Amino acid sequence: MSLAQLTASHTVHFSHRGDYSAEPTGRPIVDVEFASTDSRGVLMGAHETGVMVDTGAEITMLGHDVATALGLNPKELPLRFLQGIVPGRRLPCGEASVMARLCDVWVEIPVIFPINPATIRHVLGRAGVFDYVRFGFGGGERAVYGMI
Amino acid sequence: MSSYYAGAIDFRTAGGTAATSSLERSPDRDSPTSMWLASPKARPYEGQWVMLNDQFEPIDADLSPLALGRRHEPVSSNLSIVFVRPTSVQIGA
Repeated sequence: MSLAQLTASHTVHFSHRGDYSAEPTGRPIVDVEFASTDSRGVLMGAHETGVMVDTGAEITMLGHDVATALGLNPKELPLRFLQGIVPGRRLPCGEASVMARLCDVWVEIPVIFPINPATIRHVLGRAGVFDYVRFGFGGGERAVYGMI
Repeated sequence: MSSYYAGAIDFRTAGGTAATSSLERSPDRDSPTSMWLASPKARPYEGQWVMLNDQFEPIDADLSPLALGRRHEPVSSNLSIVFVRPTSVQIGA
């Protein structure tokens, strides 16, 4: 794929902006609220945490502790293997459908959680998220723009 | 916007025993909660989290379940918090 010149300029009006200039890692980390419900629709748990907006990640990944806060046990969830964290090794994870508050709208997205407690970086991946949200990155100003 | 953890409210005491949540879960459409969620009474709260008492009367509502929990901490076991799904979602402008 190449970035081809448009015949006419394309304008996107974003509704939300996050400033990550204070983030010491320099990564675009935004605070997102997550929640899970049971089969009746009753809240099991909610948690807010910083997640790195990662266009290279196939799916959103959160820590084992977040799963616990959401009332989920990764061992009881459908098994998935995550690759790319440690070369040549696959990290066993459980996958769940979780609610995420993106640009002040609650959407349901797939999320994977390590089965065993491990130090991982929270990432907001493409699956589900990029179906709902348009992102823009203002590199120099260290800002993330979003719109649902 | 540094990383932090703000969730410190135990919701698991509210609303009785929670069922397993997973991609394979199927909605329990016959439960009283599901029936309230499908009723016209829930429509004014679309897109929000609603705290219900054991008579299924709304006590409070908020876009944030964490904020809702903080306002009513500790969450009593005869209260439940539910999300009212919008009947339609607009994508894009």
